[in-house]
Amino acid sequence: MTMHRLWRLLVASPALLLALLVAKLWLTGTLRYYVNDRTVWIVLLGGFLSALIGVAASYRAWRSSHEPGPSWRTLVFLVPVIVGLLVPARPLSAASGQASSLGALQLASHVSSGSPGDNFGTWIGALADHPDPSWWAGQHVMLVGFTAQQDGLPARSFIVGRYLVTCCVVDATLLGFPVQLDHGTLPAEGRWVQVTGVFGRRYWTDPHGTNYPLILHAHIVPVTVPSSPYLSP
Amino acid sequence: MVDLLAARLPNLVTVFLGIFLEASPFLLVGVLVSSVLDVAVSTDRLTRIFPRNGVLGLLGGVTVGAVAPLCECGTVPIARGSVSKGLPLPAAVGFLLAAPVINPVTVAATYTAFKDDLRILTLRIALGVAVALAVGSLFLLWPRQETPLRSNPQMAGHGHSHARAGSRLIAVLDHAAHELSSLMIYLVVAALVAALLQVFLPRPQLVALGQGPLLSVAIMMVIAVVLSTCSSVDAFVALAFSTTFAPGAILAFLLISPVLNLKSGALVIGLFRPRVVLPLLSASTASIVLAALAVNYHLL
Repeated sequence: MTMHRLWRLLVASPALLLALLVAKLWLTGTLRYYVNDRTVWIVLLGGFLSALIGVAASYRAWRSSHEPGPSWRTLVFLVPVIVGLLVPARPLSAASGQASSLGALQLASHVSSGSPGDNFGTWIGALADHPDPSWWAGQHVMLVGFTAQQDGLPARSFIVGRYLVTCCVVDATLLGFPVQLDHGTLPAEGRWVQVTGVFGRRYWTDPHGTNYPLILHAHIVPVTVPSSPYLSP
Repeated sequence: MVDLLAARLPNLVTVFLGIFLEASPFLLVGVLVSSVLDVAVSTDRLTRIFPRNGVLGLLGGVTVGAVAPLCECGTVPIARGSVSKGLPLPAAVGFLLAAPVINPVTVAATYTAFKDDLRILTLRIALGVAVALAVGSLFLLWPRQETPLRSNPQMAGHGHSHARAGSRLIAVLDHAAHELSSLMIYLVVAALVAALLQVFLPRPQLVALGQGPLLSVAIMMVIAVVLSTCSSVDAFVALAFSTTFAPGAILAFLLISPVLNLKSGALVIGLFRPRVVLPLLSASTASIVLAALAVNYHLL
């Protein structure tokens, strides 16, 4: 097969490349960096339909000796597909502009407990159910999340947070707990860490007036990004 | 500026691809249904099923919208395909405006998000139907012989390939491939603009711009257009704003988001003629503002 014919085949069917992108993200476990767990099957269905349409278009391009060249519309279609295939997948990080401050607490009661071994959702859910400080004091906690900064945090503190994603990353809302270090340096913003500590009696009040129990005596360990980095409702 | 761009570029790519990946399946379903309509359903059959009377057709369009589990990316190509097969414009507009707002998936999501305040769900359904009927009725005056659709050079002359393909399935897929290529540009551009606005125009800054019964409605409508959230889940996004904004502003978000966000707006503008787009979008926006203000001042 000549390169020219291969190129013609590819541009004749950007739908096939879209299917390839979905397959790549699914097989590498990074599809959940873009959409919520519940939405994965919808994207996979889209990948299947795209493959179906793409194969039909490629078959026609293969059989045809006078298929026209790619239109500029086709080239625009190829932009996100090529970007997705070539750029390494990354989850939304703390540098996000749209959700850089903690979200409203009403959302906390909608967060599901999450996958086994990941109790971030359970603790966040408890935040909505237990406004009483005495419920939190003395409870040991272990959380995996990324580090984020917020206005008005106490000295030597950061937020260990996760994004609540309902459908795809466009609706991401930051939820998390403030962590106050006894000693040592603050981890870099956006770094994924495991925080082990104890909830104290003291609260930090965010700019919306929401009270968050502080995690004290924290031990911080860097970790890799979990396979499901986002919280689900 | 360069530092800011470099720091936020990874998030820009993630949000851009997230919107694209999430919206593509709905567009694909819409394009396939539209292609089935084009290839397998005759104009006679479609016009026989739908009432010839404009008002009954409009009611029919709204009713079909209420049971079609599709968000706005899927409904726009279906509306276009139906109109091209002879469906009266009021029926298509009723379907276009009602389906993403009151379909079962959207209703279930709104119930889950706002089960503590069912007035929001009730008003979303009632006002969604009212807006669809009010705007759809504007098009009862549209002359039947005049096409409301833009001409699409990429689809023109496409019928020749059907004959070559031989089978209806191949013809449907072939039609879908052409339509997908012609529509995807709107989704790609809208996803890029939405991602840019999301990453460089933070939500808290938008929220800080306005409070009060009138300004909050305007701000929430701008946020809805900018976020371009899929209508099937936008209730959860609205929930995050429910303590900051008045109920009318929350309803304005829930009503305008499926009708006029960057994705659906781009598709409507790309497929329908300006003579349809201008009254459709301006009347929808005006009626939603009025409904939201009525809620803020009198109802809740």
